[in-house]
Amino acid sequence: MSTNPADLEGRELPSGRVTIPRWKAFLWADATRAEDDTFRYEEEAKAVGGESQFVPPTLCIHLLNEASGTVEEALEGLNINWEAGIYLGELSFAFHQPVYVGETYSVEGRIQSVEHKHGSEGEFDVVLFAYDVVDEDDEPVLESIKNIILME
Amino acid sequence: MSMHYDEITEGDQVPEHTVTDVRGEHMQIVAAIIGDPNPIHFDLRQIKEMGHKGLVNQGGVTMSYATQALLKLVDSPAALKSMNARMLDNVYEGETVTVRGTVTEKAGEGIVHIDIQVETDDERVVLDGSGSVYLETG
Repeated sequence: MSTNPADLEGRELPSGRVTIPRWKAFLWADATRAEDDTFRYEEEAKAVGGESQFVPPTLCIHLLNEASGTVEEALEGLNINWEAGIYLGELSFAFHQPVYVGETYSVEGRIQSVEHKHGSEGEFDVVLFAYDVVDEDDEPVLESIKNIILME
Repeated sequence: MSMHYDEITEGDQVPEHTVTDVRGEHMQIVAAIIGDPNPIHFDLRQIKEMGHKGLVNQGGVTMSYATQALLKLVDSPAALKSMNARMLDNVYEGETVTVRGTVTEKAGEGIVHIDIQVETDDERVVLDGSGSVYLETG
């Protein structure tokens, strides 16, 4: 039985702990054409005052998903139609401290709202996710908001 | 090359950042790294059936290009305070994109707010956003 998208509002996502390994930061830097080697090598990061190899800021989207479940898990109950199209609509990060390779972070997330809309491309739902990330000392690391567009 | 807070003025344009020939193989690598099952990033047959002209770049990757333009202003990624991006259109494999930014506010204590846009070589604005960085002071 399929869930009504509006019924997802307020759903708490699975909370979890996640560590980004060196190879993911390195390959993300390569695949996003980042020139900054602080995302690849610990010594380069330490040379600019970092504690260890930096996680590229936008790779934090993976940190969120890895800890709190995939899109399919988050939207469990919906009939996700990949062929109709699923797109990232908006993404924001507010950082309290840098994110490092090898450190473990705890993530809590929730579905804040679901809006049904009609546009030139047809009917779609906009699902807004909100996340809070803390470090091992429970100190805030980042907050993030993202919305996903589910075409019908 | 990092910038000093005193060197920058509201209304300044930040140095452009261009990414030429966005690569489909990179989209596939990103999909593998983050476990993204969305076929628009890796499945050439399916995207043609969906009417796309090529593999579609992940929005987070296009946002990464924008973030790199901000990080050129500072010595360390630790100086990035915030980043926000609205994805307005797709970036396809083979396209070239340019990031442009304008300083909108010097907020004190080294914090600078910058509006950012990413545009393709056929003049489509694909990302509209903003970010904040800590510049060196003193």
